[in-house]
Amino acid sequence: MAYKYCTATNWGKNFFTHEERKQFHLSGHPGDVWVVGDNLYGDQWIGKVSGAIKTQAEAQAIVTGEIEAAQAAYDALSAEEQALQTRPAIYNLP
Amino acid sequence: MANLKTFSGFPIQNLTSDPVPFAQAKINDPYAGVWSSGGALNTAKYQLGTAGTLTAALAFGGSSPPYTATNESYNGTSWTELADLNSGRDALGSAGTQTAALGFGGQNPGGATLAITESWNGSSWTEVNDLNSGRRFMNGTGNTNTAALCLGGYDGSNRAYVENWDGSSWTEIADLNTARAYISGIGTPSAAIAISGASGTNVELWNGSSWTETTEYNNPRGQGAASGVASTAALFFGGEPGPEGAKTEEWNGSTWTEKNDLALSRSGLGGTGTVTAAIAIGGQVSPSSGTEEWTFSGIPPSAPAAGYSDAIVGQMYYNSTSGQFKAIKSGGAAIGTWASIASTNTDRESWAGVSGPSAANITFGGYPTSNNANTEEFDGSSWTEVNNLNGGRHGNGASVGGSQTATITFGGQPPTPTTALTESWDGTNWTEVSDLNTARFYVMGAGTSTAALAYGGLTPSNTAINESWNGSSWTETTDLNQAKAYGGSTGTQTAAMAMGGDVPPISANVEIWDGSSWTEVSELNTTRYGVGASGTSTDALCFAGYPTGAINEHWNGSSWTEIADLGTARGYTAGSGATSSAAICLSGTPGPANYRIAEEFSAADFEISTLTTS
Repeated sequence: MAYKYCTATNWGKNFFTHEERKQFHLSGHPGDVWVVGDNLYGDQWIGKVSGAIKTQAEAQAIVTGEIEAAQAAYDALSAEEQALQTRPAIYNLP
Repeated sequence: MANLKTFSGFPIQNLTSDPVPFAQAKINDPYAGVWSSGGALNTAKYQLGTAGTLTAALAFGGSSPPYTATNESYNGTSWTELADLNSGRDALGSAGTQTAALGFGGQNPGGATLAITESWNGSSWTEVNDLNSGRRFMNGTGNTNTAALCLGGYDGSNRAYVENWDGSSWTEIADLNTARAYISGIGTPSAAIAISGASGTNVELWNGSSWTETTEYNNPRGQGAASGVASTAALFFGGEPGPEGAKTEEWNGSTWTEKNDLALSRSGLGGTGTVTAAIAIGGQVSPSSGTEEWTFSGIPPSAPAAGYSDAIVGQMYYNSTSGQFKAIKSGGAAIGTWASIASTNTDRESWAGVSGPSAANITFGGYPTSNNANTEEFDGSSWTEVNNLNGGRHGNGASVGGSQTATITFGGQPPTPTTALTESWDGTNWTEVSDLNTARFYVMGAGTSTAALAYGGLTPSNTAINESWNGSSWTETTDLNQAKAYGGSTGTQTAAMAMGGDVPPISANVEIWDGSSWTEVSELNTTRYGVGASGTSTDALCFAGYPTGAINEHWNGSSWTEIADLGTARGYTAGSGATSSAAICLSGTPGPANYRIAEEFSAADFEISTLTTS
């Protein structure tokens, strides 16, 4: 499946609708990064939310930066607090 | 002055494609839940307390960070700030509704573990009796603020403690089997389910007196959230900061099934609602104000085919793609078509076992020129040979509701003239399990690999014996009214059908099993034996069989109607299918032309005619 990448701020209700979730792949990631199925409906959604198009590398860099910040926050926790949480792991966008 | 025109006739709808039959419509628009964005919280948070439903939810406490006492209500569209908790905290447990909630335990801004309990009456929080053991990262279950459980948690160590809230005080009750924090709890103080922990796949069931470990969910993760009101039906979602944290799985009381993902992966989120209408609230990687709503659309499983066709029969429209005017007519008698599909790789003839839907079918045994141990699986386009039965046989019964990953076959011939052997298929291999109590062949079967029914057959005399399989052994239960063999069979262990067969003479008799007794119902229009069947005890097909060969009849719960014939007349067939809309009919006699033949039935519930103008 081909994807497009964008950033957009989730405003809440109807940011992505039930119908849209059935029409195209959509997954949200740290840093307001969205991975969008590359079809007509996905394109329409990017327009609806005024998404700022990114390359995969640009989107990955944003996500990685956010996760690194979360890792730093985790590392600053006490050992007891760390034992109660999972250290965020950097992952690759599809 | 405006120009007025007079129009004659009536407007006609414009469609780009023809309507599709009900069976195809269900495939095109399956009934499924998906997550869509809900209203944003006023205060982004994680590790919060929740209560209520999708359209009347409450979210309180949590970490912003720092710890917050904020309390918000949701009406299905937006969140409104209400009176704060008296004691700001995160990692608290919760239970109840939007207007009658309970928040307990957690940790305060100093990082201290709390035992404080607060009760919400719809307008304010009131401190009530403390937990016996202060904890954080535990969770609660309960649908009111007068009856709840507090599950597990952490107080420097993971705890297995469980406390019961009776509306005024907490009482310690039986511990969980596994001490852990971050449990998602669903149910009531008398029947609950404790899902997950900080990681892993652990699930335990509470029966009011003890906890029992049960089927684990599929995708390991912790710190998720759950929705549901009873221990027999729950949704578990989110739970990790990575992609796994978008997973959603549904519990039906015995197994977990993966459903559509959250859009946003998140851990430490809150959740409330039911299995069919839930809300995921907040969470992190960074604190989130985002929510997602779980709702369903598509053609519900309960929607009747007749209702679908009734809604469109009589319509006229213009197909703008083909440039034709068309009309939708009733099919009269229910209609549908049989289509040839790929032939099996080996000869089967004579009553092979068969399980599963047409697109994911498995067939085993049969009698081409010798007893067949061969097993084959269909993927919708071709058959693939997999591991053989331990013993070749024919006339063997099967759990027709089984699948390519789990089914059983029982009885048949040989190895001895008549066998009681039962074998269980685990997706890879057949394993011999407990025998039938009564050896027989040409036996009818229904149900699944863990809950099956074996009825009738030849011992070698016709028998009415009926046995029930619980996954490990057979138990004799109420006999058929009529001793018979070679009949059609379909349904479940608690709702099965026996159709036609050889008594002798050849019979049109039909009996329905309700879990405790057989009842004779309306007979087939055509007497026959060696038939195939699909569907349920209220909506079934009975097809093929001797002496008539190609006849296919539809059962609507009260009577039989003849519908589309098979393409090839034959008897001693093997048939299965979970519905009357999609069946498969395999092999048969006379041979050898029919030994490998396979046909698939697709229901249609209306006809489209092209209108001509002169």
